[in-house]
Amino acid sequence: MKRSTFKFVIASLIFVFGMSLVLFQLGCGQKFARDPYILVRRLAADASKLNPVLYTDAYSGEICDWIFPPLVTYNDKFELQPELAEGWVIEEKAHFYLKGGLSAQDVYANFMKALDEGKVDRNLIDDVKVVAPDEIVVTLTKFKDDAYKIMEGVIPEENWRKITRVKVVFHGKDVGINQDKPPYKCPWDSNKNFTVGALVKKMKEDVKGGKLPIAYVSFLTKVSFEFLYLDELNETKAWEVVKAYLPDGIKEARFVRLNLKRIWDQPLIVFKLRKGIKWHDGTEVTADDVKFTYEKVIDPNTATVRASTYRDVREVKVLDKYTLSILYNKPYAPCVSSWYMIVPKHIFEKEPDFNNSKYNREPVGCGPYKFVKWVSDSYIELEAVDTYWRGKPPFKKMIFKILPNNVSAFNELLAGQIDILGLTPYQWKFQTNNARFLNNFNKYKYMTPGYGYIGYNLDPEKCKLFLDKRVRQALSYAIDRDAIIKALDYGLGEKCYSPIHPSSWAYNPNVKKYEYNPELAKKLLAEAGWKDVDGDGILEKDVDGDGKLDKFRFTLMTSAGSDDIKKRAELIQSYWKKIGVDCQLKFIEWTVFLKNYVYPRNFEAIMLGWALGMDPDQYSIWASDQIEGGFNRIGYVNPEVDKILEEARETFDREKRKKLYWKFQEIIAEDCPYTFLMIGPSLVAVHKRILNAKPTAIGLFSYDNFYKWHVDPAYVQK
Amino acid sequence: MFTYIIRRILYMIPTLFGITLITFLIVNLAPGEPAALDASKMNPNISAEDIEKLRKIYDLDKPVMYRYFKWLKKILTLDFGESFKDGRKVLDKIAERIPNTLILNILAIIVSFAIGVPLGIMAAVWRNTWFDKITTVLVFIGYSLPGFWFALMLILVFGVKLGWLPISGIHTIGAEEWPFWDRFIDLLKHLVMPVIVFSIGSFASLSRYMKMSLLDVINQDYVRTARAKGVPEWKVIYWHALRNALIPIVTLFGFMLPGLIGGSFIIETIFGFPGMGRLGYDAIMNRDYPTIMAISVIVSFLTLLGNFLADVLYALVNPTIRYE
Repeated sequence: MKRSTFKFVIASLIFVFGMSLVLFQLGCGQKFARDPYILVRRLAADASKLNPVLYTDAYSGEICDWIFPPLVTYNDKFELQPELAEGWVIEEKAHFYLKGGLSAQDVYANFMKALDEGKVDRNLIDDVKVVAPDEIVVTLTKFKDDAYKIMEGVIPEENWRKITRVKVVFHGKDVGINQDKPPYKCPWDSNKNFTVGALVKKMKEDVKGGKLPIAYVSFLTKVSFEFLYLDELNETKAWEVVKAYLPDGIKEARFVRLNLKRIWDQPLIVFKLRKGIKWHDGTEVTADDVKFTYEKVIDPNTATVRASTYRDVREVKVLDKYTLSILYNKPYAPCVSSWYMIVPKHIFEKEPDFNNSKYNREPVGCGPYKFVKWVSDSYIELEAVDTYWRGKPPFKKMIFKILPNNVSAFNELLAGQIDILGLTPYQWKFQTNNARFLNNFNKYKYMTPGYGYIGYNLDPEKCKLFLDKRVRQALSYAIDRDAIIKALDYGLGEKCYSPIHPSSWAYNPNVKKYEYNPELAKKLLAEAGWKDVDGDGILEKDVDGDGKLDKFRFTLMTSAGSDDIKKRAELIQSYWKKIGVDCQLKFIEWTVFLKNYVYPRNFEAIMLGWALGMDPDQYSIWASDQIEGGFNRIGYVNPEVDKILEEARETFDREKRKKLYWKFQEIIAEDCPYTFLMIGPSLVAVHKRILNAKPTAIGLFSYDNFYKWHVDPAYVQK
Repeated sequence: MFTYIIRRILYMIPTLFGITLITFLIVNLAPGEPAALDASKMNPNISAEDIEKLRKIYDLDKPVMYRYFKWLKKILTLDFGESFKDGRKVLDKIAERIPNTLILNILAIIVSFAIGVPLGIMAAVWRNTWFDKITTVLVFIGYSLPGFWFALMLILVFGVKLGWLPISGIHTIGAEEWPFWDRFIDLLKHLVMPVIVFSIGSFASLSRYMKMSLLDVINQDYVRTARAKGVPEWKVIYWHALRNALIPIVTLFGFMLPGLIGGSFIIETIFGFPGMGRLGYDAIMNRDYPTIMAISVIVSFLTLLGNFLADVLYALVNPTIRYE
């Protein structure tokens, strides 16, 4: 009896032992010898669609960057430079309108005479055309902000019809946003709900039908739109025009800007493509592809979020195989950079379903790398294209390993299976300073556009505490950002002073800086009328005018789930406590936080961050008409900022634009609607065999940068 | 028995229907929207109008119940729709992961049964000996080891320090061109650590079940009778006792069926393993409704089927149970 059991035990033990032996035996196989010319990168999640028009996630973007180059790109000073395009010029179509019986033909003749006499610079004029008895169009070779001047003297003042640019902003409640009662019906179609989008659509139809003397109508946000009226308008007349489209419930509209203009100045971008660039199936890249891509982007059936980038594009015209011109309704400085998408026409025109085409998974691009293979949730493989105009890229293959877990990715780096990895501050400080790591990897730190901030609700209907700018300044002075960076970012972050990135050409280094100064903070609060009357350490003041003192008490909201954010908020809370401000913290799950608090602007103060693009335009974050339907969630209203930002985004001249942004940054620093916290660092480890892989402000992987990399010959096996 | 089976199958239909309705409501009413929309809402370069358009394309501007019935109608023709994330057919997405998950889970189940059952038998036969005590301690350690921690420790030792095993994935990149045998070894190498981590928890609990159920049976009269008859002890254990002691284990096996394709998000994430767990988790995080629904339909169907099979198997292995 005992013996038989014993036999069984022995057998079981042998089995278990045998299994483990097998396991260990398996482990002793040959190590995979890596090819130094294959670059392996980490992707934190699987890509979605490898189509520059469709993707919305950063991961697909990282891959598309190599397959689909943009027409233009940014250099490390955030200036535009040509990539797939050889170059571009911004021309102008200036429309002049006449009145009082003066015929365009006569003006044309006079203008020709002026040209002959040398009164007008000939090099500036490309073409002059009479398009209607009272309209004349001059095409200028260069966009000029004062193009109307060329006709001064040719068109007498009294015969010059002025035009009006009108911007209409509704109160959100008026057009049925954020409210419970059912929305209004369109006056022209009782089956449809009234929205600004529907209004704009209807107006556009009427303009086409010749019912309205309007040059263009442009949808801006859910509560605002803009149009250019081909005559002089005052507020009453403008109301007449708009009222015809409004349902009865809407009694008035806010005309944010009614400015008289002398001409309609349309910018015209002319792109010249590089010759001889081929799609990876051998077909040549032409201007038709760009136009096709544009048409796909604005197609309402395309599942893209980028259609509004081209909202003010009036016409895209292919001039020849490599040249195309894009006519805009109105000047918009960042417009050139919006031409970064290009997909092959010859492939997609045959695909019935653009959104779910198989070519979104096996893309045919025209960049320095071509698509080879995509194994879901495992890896994506790209292969070098030696014929790209920049020449042969430094690696013959680029492989993206999909590794969702940070620790595993770091282990893969240590095991030598990936070459480049973003590090956490903790890893940077504590896990990568040993000799073994430093013998194999270089570490780099850089700052990408974006920052963390505390935003104060400035809408007096929602919160009255922060209306005085001295209060906001005091709250900013009270926070010791150096200490926070030291404690939570291991000293790696950088203090942020301005919404524009320090490496940008538009950055103003001389703005007011809020360095830690609790005494000044207390003084400012005292000046603003806050006093600790009852001696409990918390300041009081009557802010709502009801005769009773209110305590300086509010809730700072931010998203839950990150220990780091929590600690940050707690530190800020303790700094504010020291100046007598009682701040409660509330951490809310991210999607709930956005849906219930941020979007409806239902908060007193929030801690959030912005990740920004390369262009300094931030109209949608700061302008007063972007409060509803835009990104000005704190409700910041400053007419001067509105004006500056509007002008800056319509100015093509970089020097002029720079001046405007400098002024903008000064005002923001003084007004202090946000307390700017810090610019989080991007930390990265790069394998030692890769030389020259130094990141710049636009990142590690810009084409300019990447083409300078090379493999250390010492690592190449002979 | 036959009518019972038919009845059980018929019961499964309304149950499945109810599950889909509740799941559909929960995923749709949960805060947040599909990732493409949520990501865009915080991007100052994307306008609200674009987001509205996307919502329209995905039908999200329609009421939930409308969408549910539309979905249901498609489901009846076994059309699970296209993923919001990458526009591929959901079934294709699931199909490409099922082999990976199956091979991992089948291996893990084999390993946990192969270790857990004998270990439980030994612990029962030698109860209260040093062997029983040591295995009890070890089994409890195994049972309470956090899977993710254990996985990371394995990676650290065998992947990074010793460099014996690959850390992540299911194949070495470029292995497609290797000869079959090398590819097979490569696959096994990739599976070693995930299989260990997957099976360690379940073999621990399995061995406890096995021990307990065998102990129950050993004290039964018929076992005493067998012993009294003079049947050799090994035959008493393996012939008389074990057959009955395995009955609860069969039930457990039935419960493991949905787990076969369910996968585990945490372990799969750590090992970068392209399995069902990650697909499901990503779908939930991205609010990829069609994918979430397809997975939940499949998993709940398998759970119902597993329960059903467990009951039927129970009757087959245990003649004392009769279904009417």
